[in-house]
Amino acid sequence: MTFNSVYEITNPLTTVAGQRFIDDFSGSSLDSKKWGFTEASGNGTRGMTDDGSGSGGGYSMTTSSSNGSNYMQLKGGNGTIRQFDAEGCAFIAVVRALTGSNNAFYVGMHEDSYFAGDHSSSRSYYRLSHRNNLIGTGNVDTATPIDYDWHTHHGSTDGVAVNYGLDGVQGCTATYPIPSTEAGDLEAWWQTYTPDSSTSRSCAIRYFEAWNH
Amino acid sequence: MPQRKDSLYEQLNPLTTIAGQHFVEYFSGDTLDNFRWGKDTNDGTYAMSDSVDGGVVLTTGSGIYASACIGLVADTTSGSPTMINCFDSQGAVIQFIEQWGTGAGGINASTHGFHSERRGDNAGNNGCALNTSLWSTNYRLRTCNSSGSQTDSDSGISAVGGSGIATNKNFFRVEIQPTFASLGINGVLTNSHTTNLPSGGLAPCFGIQNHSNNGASILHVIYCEAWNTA
Repeated sequence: MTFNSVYEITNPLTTVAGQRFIDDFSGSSLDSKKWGFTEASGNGTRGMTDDGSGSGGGYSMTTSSSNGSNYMQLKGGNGTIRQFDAEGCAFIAVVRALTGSNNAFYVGMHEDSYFAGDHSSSRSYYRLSHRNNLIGTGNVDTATPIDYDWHTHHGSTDGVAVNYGLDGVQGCTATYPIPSTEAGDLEAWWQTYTPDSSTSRSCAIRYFEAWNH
Repeated sequence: MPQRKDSLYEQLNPLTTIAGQHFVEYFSGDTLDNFRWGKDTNDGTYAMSDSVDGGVVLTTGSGIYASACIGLVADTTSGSPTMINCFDSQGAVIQFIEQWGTGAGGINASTHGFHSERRGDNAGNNGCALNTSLWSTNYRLRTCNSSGSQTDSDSGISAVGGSGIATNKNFFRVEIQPTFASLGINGVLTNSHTTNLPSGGLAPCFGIQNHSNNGASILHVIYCEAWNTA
């Protein structure tokens, strides 16, 4: 038995669905109609990965080694198009740190409040980082040790609590401070950054999906 | 209930079926994808909405018969260009979510669905599309045949709200078959008719046209999916 349409895979026809955003990161170049790119400083490299059997494909970003506070990021609205409800949205993303040390990334929903999976070589576990732009920032660890493999990161918020986990396992929950309508709505976000010193870092992404509940 | 499959293809088709053309657009991200959509740039404006569930926003100019429309053909500054018509008038479905912002100018006509030409007035040759306008209090389905003759059928569902057009969000489904065209709203089949049906190829088109010069009209399109069934 099959579905009649893509719509019906995730919604009954009697439901008026909310906004959805999907990118498979496959093709000749990044889809710049979906994503805006920014870089804090330096000249990092980025592009579609011509190595499906090695690193696992997708799109990678490598920060410049010229500045210890460098970051590179993609935003699915270029920092200005916020179509996802700060009190009712979710994301799934497949992301990895590419090199075996000194890597860090965020993946989730942002602008300027956020909730996101947070990987850093300087810590022991993946964690949830969360922020309400009018209040402040927090984070909470999962029980998943930091590694350098692909994982499916999934998070959601209902305005009361943010949940985050990896590979289908609920990892942790945060309730304060988390994004709110008052603090602003959200867009898709993936950032690679340098957690400690002036060394290039590479991370990759091969799927991102976001939707409103 | 369908089971989870290895591929998106298999969620929609058995492997023994050679699927027809299929098109999905979420209208989410930084800008409208101009590899897919072309605009009438004469007097309309087009932008992704910076709002929850906002999709892409089509805004007409404020003058009489000012229009804004997008479809599967490159940008043009005038006229009603023939689109890349990869959907079959002998069997195709288009479903979409949209929401009016305002209809301050009074909507003369609007094209939401399939057409062979990118246009906001839901006229011309070979079309099958929802038509919302000041000339009917209800949502209507309009078909245009190959010589421009039209048939409208009434959904019975009001398109009026407040002092003008209804601004609630709806999920519409338009289907064309060799002998009939039909409209569904929010999961319920509302109306169909059998005359002045289109022939040849069709493409997704979303357009609006003002009737008076009382101000701009605004339409949000949040989702569009089309596929051939023939």
